[in-house]
Amino acid sequence: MSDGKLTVCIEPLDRAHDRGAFSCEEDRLTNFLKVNSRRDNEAYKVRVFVACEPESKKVLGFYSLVLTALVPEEVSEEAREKFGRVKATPAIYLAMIARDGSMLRRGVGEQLMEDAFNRALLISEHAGAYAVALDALNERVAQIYEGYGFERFIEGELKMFIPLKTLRIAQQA
Amino acid sequence: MAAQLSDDAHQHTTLPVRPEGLRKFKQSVENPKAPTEKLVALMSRRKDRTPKQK
Repeated sequence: MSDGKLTVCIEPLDRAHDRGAFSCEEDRLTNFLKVNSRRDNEAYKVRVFVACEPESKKVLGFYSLVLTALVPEEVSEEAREKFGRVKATPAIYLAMIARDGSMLRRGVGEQLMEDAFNRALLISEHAGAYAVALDALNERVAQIYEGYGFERFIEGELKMFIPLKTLRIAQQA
Repeated sequence: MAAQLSDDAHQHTTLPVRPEGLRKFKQSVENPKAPTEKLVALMSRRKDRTPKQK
């Protein structure tokens, strides 16, 4: 890309990837990639995908996916009567997504999101799921996701979703 | 042989949501909104470049 953007390859995490220099604004995400990502990925607890420059194994960004079920929180009988009983609903959970601090405004985050959404659509062709869900890190990040069409389950909170139908329409547009 | 799951293997396998949130979710899934321009632009990027994904 000639506008300062960097085109990256996004591929499944493997033992050849260099995660040692990765650092993003959120310590929890940096630590996950450095300490637990390989173990959790190899155990199929989550699946981790990393962004690297072509011909490089240095990780510039990553995301992780896991299948989830939306279940009703324990609530009062009054609330249950008001809103009805809802069964568990399958979804794909975007557990983490982050890019290295040096990649700010280089387009890596967008490429990771695009890849995660396309992968979620692919997964939904093989296993039932209605939506991609996530927990935004903070209000600023939640507003970025709203720009892509994510909705909050509850106004003012950071738990969000986007129907896979919406992603499919966008993919085919 | 049974798989041995770690104690925290259940993490993220359920996502508790308040009933009003699940109701909103159900309505959105049944009547999805049109994608935003930003989302359409994001999802069309791949068409503009050679896929390099493994």
